[in-house]
Amino acid sequence: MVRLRTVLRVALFISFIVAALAHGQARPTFTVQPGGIVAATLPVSILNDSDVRKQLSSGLTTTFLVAARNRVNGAVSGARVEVRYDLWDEVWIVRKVEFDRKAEQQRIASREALEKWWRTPLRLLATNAATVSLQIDTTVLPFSAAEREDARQWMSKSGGVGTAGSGAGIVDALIGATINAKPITSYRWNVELSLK
Amino acid sequence: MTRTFLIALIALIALIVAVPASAQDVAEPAQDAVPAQFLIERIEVREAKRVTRDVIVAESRLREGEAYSETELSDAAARLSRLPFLLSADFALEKGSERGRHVLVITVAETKPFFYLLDIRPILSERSTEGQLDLDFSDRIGGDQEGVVGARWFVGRRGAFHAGLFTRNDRHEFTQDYTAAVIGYTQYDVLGTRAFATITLKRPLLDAPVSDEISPQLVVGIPVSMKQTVTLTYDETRFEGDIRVVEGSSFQRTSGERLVSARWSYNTTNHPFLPTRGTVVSVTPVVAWRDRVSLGLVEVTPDDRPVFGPVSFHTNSFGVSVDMARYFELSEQSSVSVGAEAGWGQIDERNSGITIPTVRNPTFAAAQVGYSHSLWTREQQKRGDSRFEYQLGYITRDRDFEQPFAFTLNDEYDELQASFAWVRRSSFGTIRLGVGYGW
Repeated sequence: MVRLRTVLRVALFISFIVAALAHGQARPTFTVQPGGIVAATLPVSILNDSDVRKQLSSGLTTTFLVAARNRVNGAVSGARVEVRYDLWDEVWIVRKVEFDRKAEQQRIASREALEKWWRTPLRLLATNAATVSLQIDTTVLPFSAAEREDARQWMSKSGGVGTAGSGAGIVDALIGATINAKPITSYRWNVELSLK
Repeated sequence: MTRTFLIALIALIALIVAVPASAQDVAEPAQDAVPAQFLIERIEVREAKRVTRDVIVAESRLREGEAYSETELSDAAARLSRLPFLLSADFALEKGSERGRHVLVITVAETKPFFYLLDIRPILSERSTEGQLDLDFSDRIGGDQEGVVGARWFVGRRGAFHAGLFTRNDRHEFTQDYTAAVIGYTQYDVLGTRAFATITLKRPLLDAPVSDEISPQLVVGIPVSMKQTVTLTYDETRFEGDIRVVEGSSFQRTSGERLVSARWSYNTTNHPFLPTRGTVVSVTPVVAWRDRVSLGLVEVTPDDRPVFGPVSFHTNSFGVSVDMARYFELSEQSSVSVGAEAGWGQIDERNSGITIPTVRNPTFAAAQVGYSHSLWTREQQKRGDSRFEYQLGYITRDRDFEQPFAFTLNDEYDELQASFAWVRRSSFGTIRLGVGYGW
């Protein structure tokens, strides 16, 4: 019985590797934090994409919108990351806003440190479910999200989409889905997660 | 009932369009701990072969030596992407001469010097069974132009010549639609104000009495802000008609019109002809004068015999139209839109014949929703686009005729319209081919 389970695990691992190679791109990894919070670590290969590298070196902000859609009930949550290289201070100014609107801003001295920070899990959603099936969309946009932030505020005030508290993350994710600037590139992954 | 519904729908759409638009103007990136401002000491334009650096800089509305936020730079990038002679404009910063100063590098991809813009999208309606073939009321592809074929040459630092053929159909009750051969010149950044002025000479060829005369048009665009423009137009058109022979007497038919308009527009869309995101709102008051000499009834003899002779008609008209639309990108290939238009006019017609003077008050209103899907990937869209568009609209027109001492006529119709089109955009131009049905 134990041997069968081991074989299944190995087979699952191999199929995962094969699937990843077939798509020709790395996938995010996921962790479950206390309170049923699902966090994702985006692959560093995103930062190394040629178009993304070009935008990152432009001295202007590059925005990464990460939307997590529950494929069973359609619920949407997400997070946002903004990265700008300050040409004169020669530091990376990074900022992330997670699903609960918690924001964090840092100045990072080197590309290596940026990649290390990039590997910090990004909190996407909270759930009580034992398993969750997610579609993760990551969209890379030029310029900062300030204008989209304005639209988010309007949508929140209008009552049409956003509400206070738990709905805030939904609004951020919706911004990513509907008010895109011309995207530089985008990624989509489907994942099945067991939280127990 | 229908009108009430339409007014409510237009008001709702206006709310959708206008509120975020105003919010964008006043809101600040409140959550940015350190909102970035960039002092731009110099603007460099790269990969431009035909269009000059000064034209690009003028149309971006940015100025060297001033500091801009990312939102303002983003607006400038969007504004350049709406220019008909650019396919794309990418922004990047480089270090300037000293700390805190930057060089803004704008890398552009240009269209070809020869261009076309064709919007062929007839709406077959139940009224067309009576011999009327309506063109789509909504024409976002080029304002009031249904077709343009021509070429553009940039000259000097801030100038451009253009020549070609264009067709005008502005949906006004009180103006003449026509096709004309045109030649003109545009001066960008007039007196360093970022305004532009275009002088065009035209000669009507088709759809209207052909003329040997050349008539002028002057268009001046004045920037109010990054997103707002006031466009002033003076447009004179002289038509020369045919010669009619009635009972051995010949009559020369001639006509001409003069239009003066001022269009205020707020535009954050991403494309001149095929927007997929952003907002556009415009208000356009128009004053028009038309004069026409034709053959008409000048007298009725005591034995009830009509006598025809040259009759001059003079029409003073005033109209105002409002147009608003908002576009949302759903994905890199799909977008939806919602929009509304409305217009009102007063036409006061006087003539020298025995026909009773007429005052008309035409109105129109329309609301529409649309969906478009590109067949090309994002990478391919850098070189153009190929997409399908689906639109569903509701339009109402009302034309009241008031004739003192006679009678009042009312000509009104409401119609639902569904249309489908394929649009192809390339470095040469844009073509939209489609068909619709109204009922």
